[in-house]
Amino acid sequence: MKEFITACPRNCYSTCSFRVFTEDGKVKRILPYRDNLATPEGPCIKGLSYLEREFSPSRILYPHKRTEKGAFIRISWEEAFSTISQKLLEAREKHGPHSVLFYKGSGHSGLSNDIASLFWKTFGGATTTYGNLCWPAGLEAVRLTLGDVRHNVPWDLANAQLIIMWGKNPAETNVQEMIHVDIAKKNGAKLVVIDPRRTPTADKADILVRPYPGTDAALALAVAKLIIDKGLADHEFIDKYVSGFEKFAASLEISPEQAAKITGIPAENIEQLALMIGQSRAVTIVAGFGLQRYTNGGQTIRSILSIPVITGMIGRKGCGFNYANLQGYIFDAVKEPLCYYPDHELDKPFRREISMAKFGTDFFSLREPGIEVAWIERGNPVTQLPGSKEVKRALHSVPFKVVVDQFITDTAAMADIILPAKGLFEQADVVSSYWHPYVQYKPAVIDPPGEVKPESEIYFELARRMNMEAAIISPAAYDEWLLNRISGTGGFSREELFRAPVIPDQAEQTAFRERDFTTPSGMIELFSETAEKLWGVNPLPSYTPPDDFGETDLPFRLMTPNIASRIHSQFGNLEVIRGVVEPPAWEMSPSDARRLGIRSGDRIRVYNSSGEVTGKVRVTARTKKGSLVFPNGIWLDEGGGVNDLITPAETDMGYGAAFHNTRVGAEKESA
Amino acid sequence: MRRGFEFDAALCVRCNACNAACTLENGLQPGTRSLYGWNDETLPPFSVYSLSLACNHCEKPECLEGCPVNAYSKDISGTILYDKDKCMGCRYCTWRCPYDAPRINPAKGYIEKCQYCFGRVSEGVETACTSACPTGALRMATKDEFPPVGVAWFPETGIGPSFILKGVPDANSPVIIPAEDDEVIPDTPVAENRVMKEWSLILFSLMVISASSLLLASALKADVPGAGLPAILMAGAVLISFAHLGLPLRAWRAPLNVISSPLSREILLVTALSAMAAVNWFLPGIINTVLLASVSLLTLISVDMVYFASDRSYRLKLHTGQSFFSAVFVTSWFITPNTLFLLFSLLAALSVVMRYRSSEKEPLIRFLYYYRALSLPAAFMLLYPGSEATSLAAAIVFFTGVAADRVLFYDDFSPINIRESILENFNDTYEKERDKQRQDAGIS
Repeated sequence: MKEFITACPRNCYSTCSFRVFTEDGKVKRILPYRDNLATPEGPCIKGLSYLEREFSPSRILYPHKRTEKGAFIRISWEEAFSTISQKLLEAREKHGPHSVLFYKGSGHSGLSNDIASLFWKTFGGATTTYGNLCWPAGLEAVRLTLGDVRHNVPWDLANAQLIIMWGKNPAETNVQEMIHVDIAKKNGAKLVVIDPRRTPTADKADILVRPYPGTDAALALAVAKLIIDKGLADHEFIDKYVSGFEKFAASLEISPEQAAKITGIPAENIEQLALMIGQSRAVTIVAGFGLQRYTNGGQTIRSILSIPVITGMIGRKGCGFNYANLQGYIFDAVKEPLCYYPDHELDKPFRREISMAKFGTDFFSLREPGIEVAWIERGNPVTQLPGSKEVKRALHSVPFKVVVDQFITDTAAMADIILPAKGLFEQADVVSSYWHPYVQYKPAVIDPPGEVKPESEIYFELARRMNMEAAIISPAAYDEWLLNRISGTGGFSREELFRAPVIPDQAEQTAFRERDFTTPSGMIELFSETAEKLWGVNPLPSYTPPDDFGETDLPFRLMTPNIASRIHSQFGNLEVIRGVVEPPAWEMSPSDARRLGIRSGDRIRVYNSSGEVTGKVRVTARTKKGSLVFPNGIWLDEGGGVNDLITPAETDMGYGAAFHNTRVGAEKESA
Repeated sequence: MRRGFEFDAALCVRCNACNAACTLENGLQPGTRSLYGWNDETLPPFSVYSLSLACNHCEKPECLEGCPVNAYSKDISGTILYDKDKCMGCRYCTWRCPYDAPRINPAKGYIEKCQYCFGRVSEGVETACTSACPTGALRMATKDEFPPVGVAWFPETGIGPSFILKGVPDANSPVIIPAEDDEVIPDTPVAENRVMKEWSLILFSLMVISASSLLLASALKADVPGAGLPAILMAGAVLISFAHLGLPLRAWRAPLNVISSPLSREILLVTALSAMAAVNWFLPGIINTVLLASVSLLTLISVDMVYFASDRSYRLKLHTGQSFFSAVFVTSWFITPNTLFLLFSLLAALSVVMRYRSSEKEPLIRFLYYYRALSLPAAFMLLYPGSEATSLAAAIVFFTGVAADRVLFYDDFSPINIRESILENFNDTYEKERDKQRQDAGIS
């Protein structure tokens, strides 16, 4: 067997390194790569399932087209290329390039994706989306405060005395982070989890604080005020590096009692939390992405971030605010979150953009031109975008749709032509993480099965038929292009990168050790004029209740978290996942279940003004009273469709999607 | 050196990677390596943790000892290997193993189990489950001697599992803020319903009991039909026993492990008795009736031994539905419908009443209890009028009562099983804590 070191290219914190062993054109074995300090143990269940996923009998291996009767039949690449190029040219000629929608999700990361952007730029632009479904409110909040989105290396968590997992559930979504939490705990650290849900991470905690969903900012600000009032703030640090502290301190009016009313956390416990933080030498707050998927999400992250700022926990070992660490993103001219924003300078002339969060509604305001052709890759908007009903209606209205995917997803099922997408073992690429600083080379270890072609090759073949090939990288030139793309970027040679994952020279083990805050003032900005100017929010961290979209009377707050067995809509279709993991169910608290006369295994109807979904219930004390939990990304054939219920709305900053604001009602389904 | 596993419950986050890795590496069905949960319902204030378990490659493996077809073997490193090509799918190992390691694959008809990634480990590569664990909770362990696991809910039964369990006392129970405002009551464990699943075994054993009783009774009393009926019943029993097997064509292997498997012995004796009953029918008088009666008795005992080896509780050993006692009742019906019979009947009724615990019973089982308890006095009273009709009714009521008790025997039969052991232990802990809280509340 031949052995390679590779990396997982999914939208996941861990972006694990692992070793693969090939024989007869197949990957036979996956083993851990122990020298990646962030991910030294085995990959997760998803990483293991590549052994099935890439060789699955349900994988699409040939181009397919939809017949008039609605079935998919296999076609030749020639037919696919000529049909698609014709449709594209026709649309551009008659309606202009903006009549083509280019939609990409986060399904596969790597530098190879640049070729897609290059293609659509050369095409003359397209209609694309701005914003991002996941994390931009928090990214923007961190950027506004610290100037740059980075944090200490993951293994520095072992140096913390107090770890606060604030709305993050790494046991399911970043499982290797638990390795470092476990080491810290062995060294005597305390683990506090703040989360409405009792997650598997919370099972390992010393204290679990369960606020009402969307009220984290109130809790954070009350803690910050207590820290200041009790004289536990680090004034030496504040004087040197923080701008706007006086204004911030003066703005804090929230008493523990008021916060208790808002969050449901008793005042004495809020004081206890403030003391724990204020009296600890090394506090790392790890914030998740879920708590910023609210209309107040950016301000929530700014409020929480104010705690490590006023306690001087930035730029030190074992300390910090871990939201995202973009130190491995060394290849991008425009980094997250700025690249999500519409009209940034780089390719302004080319794009017409609509909001990703409000796709379903904004789509129908597109006029002159409307959308004639849609190209969808790396994504499954039907399950992932808020307001799925409208999204489906929007896609239905597009006369010609191309979907590039490995499987017939709910989105691919709507396509006119499906093109097979490459698997992770089939093309060389370079991958970075948003958690650890490694840059990783992902070699091509096997040939693509069937007639699968990497997207770069698909684009090249299309370009050839559209007289654009001069601008697109040919398959023969791909490897050279990739190498040129990385050379001289991080102080490592090609050979070093080929050999093993590398940490670029510019990455810091302890982020902001040099106190280099690239904000307008060059200091940490608690008071941010930019925040007010760009987003119209309070220039200081502040709490506003999460919007109910006029459905205050509905009793449940709907949470649609990520779970261990999937990355959004990926992996759930695999036999090994379906065999090993319990099928998804609606999770309801025991007291709500008792009130509604519902028992585990019953079917319920969940509804609001956007729609209704039915499914099985699992009654569990993991879910807080007043919440309903159903994982996102479940395919329709497995009882998904939860995004039918989500109101399309943006977060207060960063153009994120405010998924968790949604309120729903629930009742036992009548037989 | 023995090889096994080491598991740290404090590090496991129940991600199921070990389970998936096992399936992917060995092509075995999911759950061959299983995750069991302590406090699966996350009831406060108790900790929640998991146990990842496949085969413990025990020092004195019950599966190997009990397997009638010699499908199990132990290699030089103590690994318990298993040959699916020898398995007839009788599932006896699933009764014997306290850790639920062997699992029947219903589609294939044979048993599957962890073999310590046999091929992989001999290549010098780690087992799939341990190499897959993302938090390092599960490791390979090699030791001369594995100390007792020493956790209350972990059944050890003296068979020396090669398993090290860590992290249980450290498994945190987080302080939950705000405290839960409502009391959550755990679901009572639903024990596996063996009655419906083992219908073929129930019929088989009823036929063996009837045939043996007739042979016993005819040895004791000349006017009992001791020729045709027992032979037919025994032939029926043998036929029905095939329905229990996943791969009936391999049934010929069944007596191969007569040295250590109670099941091999049972099958051997049942076969011998069938043959003798047939000979006795067609060539009456050739076989000595005392010999026939003795083989019948041995057969009955061998049937019971199969169960006693898997469930060592006194509840089962004293069960009136066991083959031996059932046959004693039936025999006594034929030979002494008088005081002795009344005594037996009252004892049986008493035993049924004592066994009965209403809260756990499904409606069918509850009905069988009532029926069994009432059938004895009813049959006894029906005997007194002495008419043919009432005597026939008495016989029917009596025999169906015995059959009901045999069904109840399967309901009561519960081999040691890790899942139920954890659930029962947790529920006990939960009850104790609640009583304590109530007491504290009452005192203050």
